[in-house]
Amino acid sequence: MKPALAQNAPSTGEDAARPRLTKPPKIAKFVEAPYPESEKAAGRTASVVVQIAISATGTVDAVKVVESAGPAFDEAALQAIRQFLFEPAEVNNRPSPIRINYRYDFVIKEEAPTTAQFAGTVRNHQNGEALAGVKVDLDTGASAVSDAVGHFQIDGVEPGAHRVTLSRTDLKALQSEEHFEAGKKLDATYDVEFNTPDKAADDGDADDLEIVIVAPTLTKQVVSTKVDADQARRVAGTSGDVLKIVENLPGVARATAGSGQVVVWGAAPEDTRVYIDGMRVPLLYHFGGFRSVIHSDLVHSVELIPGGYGAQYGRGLGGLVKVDTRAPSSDRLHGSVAVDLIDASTSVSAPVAKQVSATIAARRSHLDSVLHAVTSKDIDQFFPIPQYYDGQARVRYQPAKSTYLELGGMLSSDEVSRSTPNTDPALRKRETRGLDFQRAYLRYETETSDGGKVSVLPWLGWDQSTLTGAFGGTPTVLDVSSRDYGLRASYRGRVAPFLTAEAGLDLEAVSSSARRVGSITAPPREGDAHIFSQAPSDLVNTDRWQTVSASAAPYVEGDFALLEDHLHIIPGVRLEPQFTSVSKRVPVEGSAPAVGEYVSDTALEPRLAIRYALSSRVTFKAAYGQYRQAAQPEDVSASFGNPSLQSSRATHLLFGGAFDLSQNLAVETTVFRTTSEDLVTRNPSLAPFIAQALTNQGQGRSYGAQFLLRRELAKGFFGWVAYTILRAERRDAGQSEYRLFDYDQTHVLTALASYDLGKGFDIGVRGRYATGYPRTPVIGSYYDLRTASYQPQLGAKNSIRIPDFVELDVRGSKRFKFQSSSLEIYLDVQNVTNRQNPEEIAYNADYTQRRYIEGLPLLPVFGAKWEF
Amino acid sequence: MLACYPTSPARFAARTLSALALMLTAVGCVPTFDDNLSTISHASVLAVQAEPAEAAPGEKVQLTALVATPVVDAASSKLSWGLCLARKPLTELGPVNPVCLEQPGQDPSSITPLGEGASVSATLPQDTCRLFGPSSPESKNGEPAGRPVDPDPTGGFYQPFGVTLVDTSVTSLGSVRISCPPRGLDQEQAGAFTSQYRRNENPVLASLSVIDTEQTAVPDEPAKLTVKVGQTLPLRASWAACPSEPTCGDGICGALEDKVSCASDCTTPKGCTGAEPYAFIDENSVVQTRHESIRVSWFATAGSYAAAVTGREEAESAQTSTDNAWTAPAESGDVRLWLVIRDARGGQSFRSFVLSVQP
Repeated sequence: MKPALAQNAPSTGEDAARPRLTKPPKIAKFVEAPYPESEKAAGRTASVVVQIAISATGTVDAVKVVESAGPAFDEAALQAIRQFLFEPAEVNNRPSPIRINYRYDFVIKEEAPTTAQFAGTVRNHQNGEALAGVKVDLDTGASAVSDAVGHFQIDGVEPGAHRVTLSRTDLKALQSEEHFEAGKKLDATYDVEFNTPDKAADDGDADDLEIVIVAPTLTKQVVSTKVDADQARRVAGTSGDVLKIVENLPGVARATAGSGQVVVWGAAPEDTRVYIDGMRVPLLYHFGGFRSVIHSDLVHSVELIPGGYGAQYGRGLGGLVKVDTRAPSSDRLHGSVAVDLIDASTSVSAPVAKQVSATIAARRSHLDSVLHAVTSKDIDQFFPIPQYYDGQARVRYQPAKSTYLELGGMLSSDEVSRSTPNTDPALRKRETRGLDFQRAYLRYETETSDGGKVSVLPWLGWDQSTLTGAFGGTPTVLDVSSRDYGLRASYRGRVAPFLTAEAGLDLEAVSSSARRVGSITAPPREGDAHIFSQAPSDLVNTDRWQTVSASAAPYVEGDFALLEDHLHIIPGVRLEPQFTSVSKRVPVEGSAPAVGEYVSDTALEPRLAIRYALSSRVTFKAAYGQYRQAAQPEDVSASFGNPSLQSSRATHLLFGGAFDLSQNLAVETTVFRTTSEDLVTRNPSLAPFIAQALTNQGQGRSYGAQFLLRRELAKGFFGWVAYTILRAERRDAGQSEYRLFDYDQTHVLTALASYDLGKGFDIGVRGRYATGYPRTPVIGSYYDLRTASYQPQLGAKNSIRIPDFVELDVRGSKRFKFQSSSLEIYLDVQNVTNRQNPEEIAYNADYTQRRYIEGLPLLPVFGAKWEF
Repeated sequence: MLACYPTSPARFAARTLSALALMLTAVGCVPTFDDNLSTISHASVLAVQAEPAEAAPGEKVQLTALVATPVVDAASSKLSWGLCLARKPLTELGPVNPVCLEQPGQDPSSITPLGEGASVSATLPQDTCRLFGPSSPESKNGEPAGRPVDPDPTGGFYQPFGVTLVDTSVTSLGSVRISCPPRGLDQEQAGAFTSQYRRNENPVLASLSVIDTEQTAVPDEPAKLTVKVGQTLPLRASWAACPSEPTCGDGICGALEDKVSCASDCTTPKGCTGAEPYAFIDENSVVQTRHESIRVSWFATAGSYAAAVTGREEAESAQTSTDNAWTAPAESGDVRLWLVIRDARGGQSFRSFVLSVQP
């Protein structure tokens, strides 16, 4: 606390000069007298009257006590008054010395608190028992040790954000960031885990991986669910890939086997954007969907926001997947080597110099080599075998606890090929798909003295996607290469006791070059009544075009904490001017020069989130937002699409609540509705205008609810049940009725659990149920005499469904602990009941018979991971 | 193709790994079907030949159908024909507007009746290149130009028609290649293309022979080749070789030949009845020479073929034959074979043979 206090302002003394006083003296510099401690402690107040001799220059020549209030008060007043400066008195308009009587009042005032109080309890994560002797450190240097009942207290904490570390030799170190307000007490409860293998968890890295699942949400302050890294790896069916946990979250549809698509709240996969450390990347999973594009050891948290996300992000009509990576290890060398049937990977993280640490990781698939070695056939003829690799590297310079500069990059490569021979040249098929991307970034983050956070992230990216194939004599080529430029900068801080605000800039520019050859219907779009293995139309075209698109979106968001922090109102707004330039407005004919097209617009996108904590156990939430997404580069071809396409728009609205049923059991529900306008669809006209094969006349809507019942880790057991019910529809251009969206999935139910048996053994189980995707039925066929093939005649679009999906997966693992490392071996068995789940509908050559393409049979995956 | 659910434990490891590969694809195990489209079980239109194989707007073509029936010498079936006038919307993934498959007379604005019979004459509409070709649809004042139809991989466009078996009301879709002015070329490019492009000629099956030491030809009717019940005949269908370079006097009016430079070949222009070379405009508007692929569809009233369709793709165009195998049925009697030969530019013709299956 600051010493003593202020006092009341003094009054001016009497005029002592005979000649006319034209201007009385005026205090120019007031010096506060320190309140005598003994008097303050006694709660005494007093007034000391003194006589002050003021010179013609305004200085104090002499001062003496006229009415004493006691030696302590007298001495304090005299010392302060001797330092006073006055504007000198004027007699007959001339500066003149003067003597005045002055009363100095000593008054005890209530001070506005300038520090916070920090108190809390430390408990055993497993059983909730209090833990004594746990050291609680603040990054200010203050610390405390928990007592016999687990309680600790630290007074005089500077306001702002501070890092809290809890440690004890036999405990897993826990770090958290807390925000302190002057005059307020922060009460926190920490559940920590033991290190020893006989207890709950293993002794993984010091930095726990957090999977932050945000069901309806906007910010980390709104409803979220966390899953520990070790928990995520133990979920059956993930084969140890932490980011695969996203597929088990509420709101996420079950993707077709091997597709790796992320379908959230009925939005198309391309409408949900994926960010790694703030940089947009084109996909989350490698081809086949078996592995994510980033090594699990590097992942700190993944956040799925199915809708209603805040002003910091935009340009996507669906949801967000945000992956944050860990800081490089600054204490010692950490790493791992892992191998299973599919791929091999390694990671290393270590300090390399004072205040400098680095991480590097790499992974490569080898399933193609394994299959070629154990099968005698040319396996590629029958099964496309994805080949992939990825790598990440970063160097961090951290001169202070809350300041760092990081240089990093990542790369990923995917390729899959297949060919189908046939005696009929028209049925010979071949296809090669590839997707490579690289990212490089420089990140700067620091915390300001008032607890604010500044972040600047410029980044560069290169994307190359290729599709080359032929169905008989009909070629299909779609090559798109792009260079991406991004800048994300923000400041977040407490601007008032009740208000935290963030302001920032999200800038992104993409320069693309594309080439396409083939049928306008290949690849098919969402909404096309595509029948599996149906030959594409053999009417073909070609085009090459370039696009440049850019948008720079300043945004601001405020978090108003009201009703003693029970109510949070978080309004935000994002102003997004956007432009797209296309190299060709219409197809070029002959030697005529190409004329480009330029489309621009500016949108104001409001966002709002509200969270109300009715009690410590019950929280309600709501969110609203308007969103926009520009046309894809692939769609602005003059021959295959429309260079004049405008942005599509969407509105999200959601409500929900979270209820803690007990210490370790919670349920969360969300009801949502999304609508979208100006979606890109095929032009239905019989005579479309040139360069208008696509239009902005589509509409969409989805509505539903999701539920999550979660058991936190306790006594070695954790699990959850996630259920989503929804309906997603589209209305195509020229249609009056809505039809089911291609990715509509009415029910999705996931139930999973994991149990630590002790002695390094653990087991897990996962059950899934999902409604099948809609499909368009074939109601007849006719013979095409030119191509000697049958063509299907179709019924109502998306009026039937693939049968429901049901699967049970189990996992078991054993961890061996050595002196400074550990080895985990695991067996992950998918579809343990060997159920024949239909994945797609297949027809015979004349479309008179229908059967299902079945997905995975029983599939055991064995793997091992050594960590050091 | 490997089965999805192995019955042999001994191969479980390899199949498990293959199943793992299945998971990494967007497709699981594709089921197999016992299709036997080669065996004629009911009256079917198997082919329609247009003569000439390629015609310009306003020109006449003669359309002749091949109708197969399960009985070897059945009476011919009644056919009804209609010329389609309906443009295909971009939302249609099939080859034509679905109204083209309706019966003639139901929608006169969409289908022009051509009459009935095994063969009819049709005059191509004057606006066929606007409806189905590279000419832009008519636009109203102030509106942008319409989007022309995309060509097929050979650069061609087709006028659709329907042919209906009156007894069963089953309609099949046929097409006539239409000769339209090229689009998107400057004068020099158009001139180069026009001087080199030759209209399509229907391919002709030169012979069907048994692949044995004597290369025994399967005779035309009324002669019959005798085979035993259950016997497997390796068969070879052959067509004419086409010259890769135009040669005056070879009877074929090739690229860069005309009435002036080669009157003997081009006074009455005739193409090659095999895998013809043809001029093609690539994506850089450069005229290239490509070669047709040839496909042969095999049909029979009984027995079974190893493959329903065989052929040679463009890269194999120097080859002038394709092989198959036919297995005679277990019952004796006459069996009729039909072979339909098609080229990549929509031309087709057919031949029929009769085999006598003996015990």
